[in-house]
Amino acid sequence: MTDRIKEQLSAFLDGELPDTESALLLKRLERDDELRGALSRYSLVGAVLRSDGDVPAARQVAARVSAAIAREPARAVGFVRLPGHDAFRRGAAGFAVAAGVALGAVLLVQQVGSQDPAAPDAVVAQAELPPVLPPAEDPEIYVTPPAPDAPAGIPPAEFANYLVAHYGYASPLVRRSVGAGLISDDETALADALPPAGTTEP
Amino acid sequence: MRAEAGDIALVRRVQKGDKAAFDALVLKYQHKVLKLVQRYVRNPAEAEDIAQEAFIKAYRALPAFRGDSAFYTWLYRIAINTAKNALVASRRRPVSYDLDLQDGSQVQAQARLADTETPEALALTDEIRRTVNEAIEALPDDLRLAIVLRELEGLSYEDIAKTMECPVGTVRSRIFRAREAIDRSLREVFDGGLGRIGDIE
Repeated sequence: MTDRIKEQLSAFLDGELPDTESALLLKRLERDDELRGALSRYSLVGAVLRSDGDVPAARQVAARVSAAIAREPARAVGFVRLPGHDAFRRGAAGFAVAAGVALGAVLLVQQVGSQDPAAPDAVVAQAELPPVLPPAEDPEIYVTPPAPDAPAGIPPAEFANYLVAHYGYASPLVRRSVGAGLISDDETALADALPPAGTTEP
Repeated sequence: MRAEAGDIALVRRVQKGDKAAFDALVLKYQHKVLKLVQRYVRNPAEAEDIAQEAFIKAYRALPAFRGDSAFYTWLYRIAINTAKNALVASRRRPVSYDLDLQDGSQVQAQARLADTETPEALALTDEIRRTVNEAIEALPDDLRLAIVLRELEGLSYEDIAKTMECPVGTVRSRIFRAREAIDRSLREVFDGGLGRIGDIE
């Protein structure tokens, strides 16, 4: 067990490990007794620090509970519908359409960039991206790649035109947020893309 | 708050059928639950049985858990009820009833000794407390401050980073190194005869 995995375990205990890394760590916990022992002792340290008195070290509780749970039928635990779940599902449909529009726009930007490699927009859009590694079948650990420090890039006029032409397919919420993002990123580019004031939409 | 959010994320995984997530919750809370149960039942073996039963009850009740309270508060209520039921079943008087149901970690200890508590168990818990405290004192200042802010003050990594004026990644590393240093001392205790390391899970 490497220090890197144990550091992930420490962050996991504090609820500070990203979901993607947590999922893989949980899989590893299932089969790694040493890691389970470390998690238990890290918890014990916290319990002792926070306690006024002594804290007994549980010896067999986790192993026995794990064995008992393994014998439980799968139907013992079911998914609980959370409040607001339906509202989320309703919004998801609009979001899916908007995501499709955004994906198309990104592909368009890449296409424009490949036609003119010297174009500054294309250079910014492709800069600072982390290297893409081939996916492992069963990775031992997963580390969330850091977000690039550079801004995502300025949308070109074609991007803005595309979004404006497809606004009708997105939900009102997504339209507002995308529009606001465009304005805050590059007011000039969006002004060029939008029809002049006073004209009516087709 | 972050730790509670982490618990809720694990609970949601369990509710979707991920038993490993419940395993992680047990590993995380077994010592605290056992401490709680031992306020009622001093016999270590019996207390472990009750703690085990409490966790299994919690697992079966998890589909109904909606997250209105913190997971550990909910779990501790189950543990207290399980311990009380065990006492009724065995017609024994509990050692203490003054438990704050709103926060299991606030449980006040009363009686120190009972004839069912074994000398070995007492020696081990005393040694654990002493070892942890000594290991904390021996830590470099930056590691000690990081672990204290996390464990005692309950600050998030982001808040600790602001307090210590360093990146969040540094906080994560310091807390891990502090835990590792304390854990090394603990493993020496367990390897030294009071308990075998493999027994502590």
